[in-house]
Order: sequence, then structure tokens, then C-alpha cells
Amino acid sequence: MIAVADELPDIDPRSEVNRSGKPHVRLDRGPDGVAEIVFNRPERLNAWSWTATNELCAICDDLRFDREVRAVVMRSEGRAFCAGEDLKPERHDVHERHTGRSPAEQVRNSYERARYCFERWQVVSDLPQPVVVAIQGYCLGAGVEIALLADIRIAADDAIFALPQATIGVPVVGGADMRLASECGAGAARLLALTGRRFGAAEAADIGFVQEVVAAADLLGAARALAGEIAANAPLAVQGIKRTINAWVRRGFAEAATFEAMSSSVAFVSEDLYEGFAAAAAKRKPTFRGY
Amino acid sequence: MTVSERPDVELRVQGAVATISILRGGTWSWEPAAALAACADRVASDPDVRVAVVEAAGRDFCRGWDVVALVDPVAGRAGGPTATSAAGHIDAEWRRLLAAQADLQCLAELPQPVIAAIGGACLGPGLELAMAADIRIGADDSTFGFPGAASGLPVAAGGDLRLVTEVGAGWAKMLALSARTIDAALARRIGILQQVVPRAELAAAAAELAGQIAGNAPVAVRGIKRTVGFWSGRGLHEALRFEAMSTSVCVVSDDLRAGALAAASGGRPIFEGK
Repeated sequence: MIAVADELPDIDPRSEVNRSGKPHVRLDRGPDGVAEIVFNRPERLNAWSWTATNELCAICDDLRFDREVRAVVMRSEGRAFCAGEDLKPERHDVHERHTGRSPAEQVRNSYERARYCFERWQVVSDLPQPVVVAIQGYCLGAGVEIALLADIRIAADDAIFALPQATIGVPVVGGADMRLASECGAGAARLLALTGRRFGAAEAADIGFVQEVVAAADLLGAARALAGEIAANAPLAVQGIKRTINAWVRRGFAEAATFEAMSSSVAFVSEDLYEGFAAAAAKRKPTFRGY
Repeated sequence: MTVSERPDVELRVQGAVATISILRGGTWSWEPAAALAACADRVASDPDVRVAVVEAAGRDFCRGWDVVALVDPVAGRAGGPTATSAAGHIDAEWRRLLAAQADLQCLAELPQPVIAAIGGACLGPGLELAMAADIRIGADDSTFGFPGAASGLPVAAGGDLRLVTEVGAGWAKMLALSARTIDAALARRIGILQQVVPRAELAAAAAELAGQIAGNAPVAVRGIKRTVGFWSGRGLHEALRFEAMSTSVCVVSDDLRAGALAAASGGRPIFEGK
């Protein structure tokens, strides 16, 4: 059922604070101008949360003006890159997050959060330094979103990808479907986002989603080597190339992001979304009725 | 008919197929671009030509930038000795790059389809030229890359942007940011090339495809090229101007000079990001 709160709910994504005592995302500084952004919640398969977004983007705010860093590796601790959105965060589960005193206000609140997500993630995707992402194990939902914020993707041969949102009634919120269409063509983006089906490293390479596939043991070495190669090139030329390609790839993106934020927010007042979550929790097949 | 426009490029027209041959072997700056544009103008206004083929006469399509020639030995920077400040250098380079972009656009926007027949190295400006064509056929010995970043030079004439549209942003960044070179098989797999043939069969394969397209209805063929180009090229004009400005700034960098000196001496450049 749709949660309709009588009191004004706390809808500020910044209010989700990390009480675990260790950062969900950390920055490691390596030699030769390569820094590593590390997702650091292996016990939860690096499940994504507003806390992770807040920490990741704060790190990128700093990296943007850091003259020592020439290239970035983004990677995860543990056996999975990111198994998807954290459906049981410390605060704000899906019901609490999408509240309002009426469906119209719920849509408005969801829209503002989605728009905030787009704004903050842009500091990652438009970081002046190139980002190489190393992906192992599960890379589902939010994992695909985060991987698409990087410039170049390297996968371990055990990587498993999916955009499963549609299978539980959730729309794609952060632009992964649009970014996938720019990377791999609209047909591949539609196929993967509309079915929610899983695909492996070989298919990911085949459609151009990842640029390299290596054995799991070689993943970090390959990502560091590529980042090192880029860091050894002329920084101004490197950043010039990235900014020009991004300006081209992201033409019209701001308008489309605003549309996706609004369009996806409508789904959060549907009954099917809560049926999807309930079915997933009970490990049964959902019955979607289209409203 | 054989017309020698300039020594850099030769235009031959046989029946419905025009062949533009780059005679300048090895490395380039933008010398062949103006000659290519002049050939393209002749082809565009020739009602008998239905398809154009771009090829190189030598072993390689293009071995990349002549980085040493890019850097003016007097001023120590590109832009020429008349430029009086970094801003003046940037302005001169910006206008030079806009002209080179316009030259490549003449070829890209030919009403007739353009087939690039690529043998050997196809690097830097060569790959920019190849991406301006509609269809690319590569010999099995062909290699592709944007090596500029390794000597301080970004991509200048939209080759990376066209690569994004053809292949995806991840691969465009992989090639341009790492400066790695890839072989024909990988270029075929990711979609830079539409066909790979043995080197000895390259000219014949290009001629066969050109003949097939020339045999189709010209009005339909031109309409298809126009529509696909209109869609894939939306916003390209603005993005090219942004690329010219962004790249011009790098041309006056100390790092490009370091890259050029290292290229001349065979040493390793030390890049300080300035």
C-alpha cells in the first residue's frame, strides 16, 4: 500500500547518515597520480544507499580540485561490485522514502530526490580526471548506474550485470537506461532495461558496455595498469578529451534527466511497485496489475 | 579522368565512383585536409559520381600526427611566431582547427556515400578522417588509435565524437585517453570497421561495395545518408566548436612541447599538467 503520512516526512537525502563507524566509500591515494575510490561495504555486497552517494560525491568534490590526481580507479571490496540498492538501509526504507500527504506530494518529493541524485552524480561523471571502474561479481541495478558514471569499464569474467528494476516495479531513476543507450545503442538499452535479464561479462563486452574482460585475479591489476597508462599521458590533453566527449555524449541529457526524474517518480505512487517489493521479500512471483 | 589537385591528394573518377587518394605517406598535420575538401567540392558537384572512396596510396593510411611540426620552433608553441600571447596563440590555433574541421566536414557531408578503405596504421588525424566517412573497410593489417594524449595533444576534428556515435563513449574514451592502438579484429568487433579483408583484397572490396551502392537508386541512397547523418549529427556543430576551443588550449601547453621534444629525441616526456 502507498504510505501516506499525516506529518511532514523527512525527505532530505542528506539526512541519511552513516552510523556504522566506517565509511561506505573511501579514497586511497596511490603512487603516480592514481587515486582509488573504494566501495567499502563488502558484508552487504556494497548495497547502494544515499549514504554511499553522499560519501562518493563528497570525495569527488575534493578530487575535482586535486592537482595531484591524474586518473582514478573506482572499485569495490569483496566479491560483488554492487548488488543493487540497499532495500534495508539504517533509515528510510522504500516506504518511508517515498512519503507525502497526498499522491501528488509523494510524486513531488520523489522527483526532488531523483533530481538531487542526478545533480550529485554529475560531479562523478564529469570529474575532470578519467575514471576506470573495475567490476567483479554482482553489478545489479544501482551497480550498473554507478559503473556508468565511470569513463571506461573493466570486468572480471565472473561479473554479472542486470537492470532488474522493472521486475519489481521500480523505474530506472538515475539515468542508467539513457547512459546505456549512449554506450551500447538504444536497442541494447531497451532489451536490458525492459526485461531486467542478467548478462555476463562476455555479453557486456560484446555490446560495448565494458571495454576489457580479465580473469578475476587480474582485475585490479588491469584497472590500475590502464589508469596508470592514462595518468602517464599529458593531463591537459587527457582532460580535454574527456570534457569534449562528455559534452557531446551528454547533449540533451539535462533535459532528459529532468524528464526521467518526473516520469520515474510517478511509479512510486503505483500499487505495482509495492507488490513488487512485497513479492521480492516473500520470494514469490509478483502479480502486476498495471496501476 | 585524373586531376591532381595538390601533391597531398589525388582525385580519380571512373564511371560512377570517385576515388580520393592520399599521397602523403606517414605522419600528417592538417596538410591533406584542405586538399581533401577541394576534391570533395568537385565530387559534390559532379552529377555522375554516385559513391566516393577514400584511400591512401602508401603502406599506411596515416601514422599519426607530425607532433614535432606542430610545435613552432621559434615561439616554442603552436600558433606561429606572429602570436604575441598565450591568448593570441589559442585564438590562432582555434581558427586553424575550425578550418581543419570544416575541411573534414566537406567530406563527411558529401551528398554521395563515402567509403574509407584503410590499410596499415590509421592513427590520429587518419582515424578522424576515417570516422568522417560513412562506411569503413579495413585490411587485416590495419590498426587504429588516437595516440595524441601520449604527447600532449587531444583530438581536434571530431574523430572522438564520431567514434562515440558509432561505437560508444566507453570505447571512444578508452582509445583517446589511453592512447592505445587496436587491431583490425577488435576494430571490427566494436564497430569502427564494417568489414575486414586481406590486405591484397582491400581495393577490390572497396570497389565492390562502391559498385553495389552505385547500382542502387541515387535519390534513395542520398536520402538515406542525409537522414542518418541528420540524426547522428544533431548537436555536432556545437560540439565541434567546443572541441576546437578545448583543444586549442592544450596546443599552447608546456606539456605538448615536452611531448614534441620527447618525440623528436626518442625520450620519455615528463608531463607536469601545465
